[in-house]
Amino acid sequence: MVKADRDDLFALTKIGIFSEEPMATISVSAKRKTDFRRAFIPYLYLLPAFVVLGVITFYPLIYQVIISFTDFQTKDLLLGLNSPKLKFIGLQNYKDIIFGGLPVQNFEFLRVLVYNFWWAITNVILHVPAGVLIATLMNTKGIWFKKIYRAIYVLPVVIPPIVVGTVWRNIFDEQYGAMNQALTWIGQLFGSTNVVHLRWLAEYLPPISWLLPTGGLPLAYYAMMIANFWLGWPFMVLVATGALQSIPRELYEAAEIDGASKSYQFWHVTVPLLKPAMIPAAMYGFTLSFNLFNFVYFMTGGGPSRMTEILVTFAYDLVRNLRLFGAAGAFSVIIFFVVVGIFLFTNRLTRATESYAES
Amino acid sequence: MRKYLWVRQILSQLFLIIVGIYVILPIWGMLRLAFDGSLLSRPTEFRFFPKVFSLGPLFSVLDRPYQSVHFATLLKNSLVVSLGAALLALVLGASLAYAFARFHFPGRKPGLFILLLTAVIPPIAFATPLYIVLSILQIRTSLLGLTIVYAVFAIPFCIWNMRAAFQSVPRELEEAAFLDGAGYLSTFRYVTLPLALPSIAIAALISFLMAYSEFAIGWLFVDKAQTVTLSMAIYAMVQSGNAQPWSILGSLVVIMSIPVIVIFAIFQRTLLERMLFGALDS
Repeated sequence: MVKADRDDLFALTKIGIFSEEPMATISVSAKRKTDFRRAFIPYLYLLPAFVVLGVITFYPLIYQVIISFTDFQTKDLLLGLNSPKLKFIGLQNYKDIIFGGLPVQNFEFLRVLVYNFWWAITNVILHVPAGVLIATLMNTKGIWFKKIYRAIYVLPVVIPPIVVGTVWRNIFDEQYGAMNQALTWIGQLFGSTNVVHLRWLAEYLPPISWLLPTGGLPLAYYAMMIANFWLGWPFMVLVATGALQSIPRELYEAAEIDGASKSYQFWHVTVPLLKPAMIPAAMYGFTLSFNLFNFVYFMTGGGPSRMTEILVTFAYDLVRNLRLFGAAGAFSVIIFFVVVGIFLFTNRLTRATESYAES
Repeated sequence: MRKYLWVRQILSQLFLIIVGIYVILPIWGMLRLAFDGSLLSRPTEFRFFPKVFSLGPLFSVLDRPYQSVHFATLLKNSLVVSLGAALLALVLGASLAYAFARFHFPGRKPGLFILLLTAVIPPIAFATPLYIVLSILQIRTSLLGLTIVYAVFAIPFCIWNMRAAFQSVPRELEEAAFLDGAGYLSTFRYVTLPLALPSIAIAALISFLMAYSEFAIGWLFVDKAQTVTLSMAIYAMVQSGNAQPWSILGSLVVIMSIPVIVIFAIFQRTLLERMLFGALDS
């Protein structure tokens, strides 16, 4: 059959109607068909997720940008952009946010931004070394009771974050909280009769007033650092353990033969080899803390007087309590740019360390 | 040398014990509140053990409805939404992660970039339009809507976690399965899936926990008491100026932790411990 076709074609070429080419295209197009099917498969995997993401994430994001140029209000909420009363006001929302024109008390954009960065950085600076230290200890040979410690240390990962939030909020309650009661109790052990009455989450006079150029950090910041440390370090242990176990034992043996002390080994073998794993983890932790909405909102709601407000909690407040949807849209766009900036920066940093690891 | 080792052992133990106490103490405090029958409203003194041990608060939670919604309904809502969200996030996330880990296709890099970008954008940043979109789809104040929204919030983490796992499955194993005549699905089922299982379990657990504790976004969308979840109820309770006795709050929180601990206990031996702290002693 094939041969006959070929012969026919051959005859046709002879006559000069067809050149040799059609034959070639036939076989290529057959190949292309399977190629096309193979090329199609990855998109099949992507399709369902992208449909859902498109409806729930991408479309709303574009929508949000449009809203940010309008004076969107509660009455417009159900009609969306079809609302007849919608007025485009240009960049007014953005100006209001940055230059303080919002009808909101105690809000300065720059202060919130600086605090937000400070909050994320200090969290990561505490979590990463703690994770590395504990992972190293748990990886040392001959430490007793490892199993018990492991069972305990896993708790912060498996307890629902809202439970953690409730627990710590109660602990730092100024009147009935365990923290103040414990401090009182310790004081009594030393013969003091004072009842400790620290207003952990409500005091707005900062204990150290010079710590940030935009004003001091309230007591609530320290309380939240303690609580969030509880929540955050096990993740770093997880990453560090994985990285530690991939370090070849021979390196340590070689160092030992060369007479390197344990601390020298730690600083010159462990730390450099942990870097490629820990830097992306630190970046991830940074983004996570930067946008740590649920925990912050649950603990303080951004208070006292918006001193522990981070960008996302303020965005939520704009939507839920202040109901300034237009301004909230503009604020979200600003958050978007800040976050994308961080993302590009950390991405570059991570990639730089990656190539460092490979070289 | 021997003496030096002893000193190191004791110092390490001391350090690990202090960390352990730091981890346990808050949980212990909450348990104490939950089981203390003597508490009328709030604790007034610091103590390590309940004054009167009782299961009373625990049971009184069960017949104390939140705005006429029974406790069982709240728990059911929470479980339906979070299990559904975890499952959906896992399926969608796994298919995305697999595609990005295994195939090279036009648009792969920008696609991955966009996905990673959505991972860093906080969901709050599109709350208002999401409200409108969900209203249009008429699933805003339903469990289905919450499930889909929470699943989408969890997808970035799933991709982040599972892509690495799929990449670490040796390609040769998959090719060998192909050569033995296995199709796409059965290769995935019998080769890739078992090898990537620890990461998938972690992704499932984290997605579940995310949905289980989310209260703020859901609170924006839901306006029927029937679809309120447990974490929203807890938030409402805390927000209402602590009118409820703390032992009730404690019990609620303890009950809320039980399903997670059960799930964890099922996974623990096989998957999570290996993932979390590795096979340390081998």
